[in-house]
Amino acid sequence: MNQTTRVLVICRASAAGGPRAREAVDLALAFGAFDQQVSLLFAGDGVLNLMPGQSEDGVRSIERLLGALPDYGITPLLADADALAARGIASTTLVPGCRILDERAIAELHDTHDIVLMT
Amino acid sequence: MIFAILVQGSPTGVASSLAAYRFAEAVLAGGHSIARVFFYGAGAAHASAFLVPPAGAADLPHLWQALAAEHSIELMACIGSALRHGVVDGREAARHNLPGASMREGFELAGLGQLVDATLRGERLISFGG
Amino acid sequence: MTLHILSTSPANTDVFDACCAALRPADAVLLLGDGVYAALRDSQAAERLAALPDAITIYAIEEDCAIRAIHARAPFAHALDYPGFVSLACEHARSVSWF
Repeated sequence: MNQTTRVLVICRASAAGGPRAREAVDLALAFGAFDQQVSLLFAGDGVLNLMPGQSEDGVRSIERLLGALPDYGITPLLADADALAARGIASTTLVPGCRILDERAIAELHDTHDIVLMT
Repeated sequence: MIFAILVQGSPTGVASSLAAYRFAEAVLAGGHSIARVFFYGAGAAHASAFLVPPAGAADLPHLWQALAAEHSIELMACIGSALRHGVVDGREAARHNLPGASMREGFELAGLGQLVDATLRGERLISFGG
Repeated sequence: MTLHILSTSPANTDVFDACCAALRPADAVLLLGDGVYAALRDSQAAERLAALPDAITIYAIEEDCAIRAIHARAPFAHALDYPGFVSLACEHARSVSWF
């Protein structure tokens, strides 16, 4: 495991609605923990996880989980501009450390990563 | 070519899980190899010994078990996902005070590090979503 | 060059739209499972795929079409079997699974 792989993880689900959002973050953390270069993109309903103040569910809130990502070199969090707009979410209201990408930038994102994982 | 295969869909719920198996068969028939098959999220239910598919449907846990035995392929289920789907080996059953193990022979429980490892050893990662 | 694997129905528009938006010239799209409904001739989804640049090649798993009685496949969709799927996976450096 000495070469660095560029990994794009795409989260397309909300944490409140099921396990898939956490599965995406866990994938990102796992590749980050093994010193791979990870980008985490929130698209579709996944952008809903970037709204701050979501309450604890007894385990770990998604917000706290996202807060751990910079420790693994996973920063900034990438967010799909169209998905935010479709859900009426202003980019100024997101958790800290997000970068908003338009459709063209997202299509280019695939080309700059070796593997792409989605949940 | 060396493939890593990631199965994210349930063994009875989605067409992509049958596609994952058919793909693996074709990989081996084509003279390629499989670094590891990793079952994640709803896919972890593939590792259950107690799953009965409906009549006429493919018995994917059994098919994977047979394919892995024939070709010496590692089948690994994410331990966190497995626990959430009622799949435990003897050690996890004891740790969580459960009446017994429910994991199918031929499968192992593993952390996500084993997916990272398979991905880095494989030349291609193909995932099958749920 | 990315192989995009679409395994959900195009009626799941959020996923279908995101997949279409991510396509780049020289990418390929593989329809499997309910994804093959995007190859249903004269459907809205098929019209959308037909409008893509020719450099983007589209394949549909033949047995998934047959199971769903999709006999009138859109002309752009090349029928594919599993050995063909493996060849595509070898030819493309990376793949993305949309579901």
